[in-house]
Amino acid sequence: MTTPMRTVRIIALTAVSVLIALALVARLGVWDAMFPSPPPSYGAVMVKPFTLVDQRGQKVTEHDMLGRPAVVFFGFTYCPEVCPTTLADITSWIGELGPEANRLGFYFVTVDPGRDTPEELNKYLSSFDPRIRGLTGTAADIDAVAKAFGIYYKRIEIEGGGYTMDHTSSILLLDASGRFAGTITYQEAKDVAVAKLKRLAEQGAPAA
Amino acid sequence: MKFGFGLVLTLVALIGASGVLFARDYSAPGVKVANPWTRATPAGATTAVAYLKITNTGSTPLRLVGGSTPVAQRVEIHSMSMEGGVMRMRPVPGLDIAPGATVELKAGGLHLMLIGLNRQLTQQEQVPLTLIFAGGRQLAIELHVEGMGGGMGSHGEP
Ligand SMILES: [Cu+2]
Repeated sequence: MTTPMRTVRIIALTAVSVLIALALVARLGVWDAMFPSPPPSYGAVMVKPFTLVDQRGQKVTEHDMLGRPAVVFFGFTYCPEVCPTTLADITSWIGELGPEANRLGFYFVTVDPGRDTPEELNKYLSSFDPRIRGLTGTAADIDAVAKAFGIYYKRIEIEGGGYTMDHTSSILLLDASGRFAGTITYQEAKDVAVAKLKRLAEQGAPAA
Repeated sequence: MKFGFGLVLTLVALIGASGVLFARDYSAPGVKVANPWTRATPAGATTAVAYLKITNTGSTPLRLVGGSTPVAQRVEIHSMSMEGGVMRMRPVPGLDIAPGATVELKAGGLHLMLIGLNRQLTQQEQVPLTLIFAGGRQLAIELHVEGMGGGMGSHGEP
């Protein structure tokens, strides 16, 4: 039934459709270099049901995160550069935002729940703005949250003892309904980061 | 051989540690270290990083293999990469510095990792650290402690 000519045409058509589909994905998706795979797209719902615990031992679920835009950073306290620098940056941005900061929720989710107990997080986060909520939980719960947020992390054993964690270093911005609203990359200029947070805070404001 | 085997070279501070505003340079025969610094650490932090620039001013190869400091259990040399937005850190056994060459350990890249901190590092203090080179050669330096958010942008050439 199928002639060689028809087969060639079908293959060509399929190839073209695949290319068009890829082009569409590339346009719609945020090919943010920050996400190895798959990159989240604007509007994608990131906040899925979860149960974690904060640095004061309080239970935190998706309901606590929803309702106002959120600024979420994944890291671990053993991290010597990226994590303390990012938390210090967030603290300075909160200062810059002033009262507007209260329209946003700030979260530091550990990718190393084995070491980062609520007590450890509490001590560590006492050096930063108290509005940053540290979240930890079981390895399985953390894994589920990281997956939902498109965060990559991996435990790496170090020769001679100990381990470190590879992890996505950018900050996720979510709107009040838990949808992806952008990122702030590591060491982003302060004015750019603050502008992004201001915009996020405005998006989350109730319609006038 | 200017830079003696097993010789401990300690550079005495030119000015007192108090009131020092800028990191200093340290040199000994065959080696120069410029602008060693670290950041203030959060409460309870168990690690810290140190950055510096090492120049081999001698005529023989120089290999940094580690260090020691009274503020941490151990000091390792690490590389850091940010490929694909993922922070990855790996131990490096040693850093070879050819005669005349300079290796820079800087924010976002190679660093000395202070593991098992026994106290918090506070801004503006000086933290002693001894660099250990292959062959047992050592150089005592002091890390200038910058603010917690001190990053790549805020550290130009001294
Ligand atoms: Cu390191």
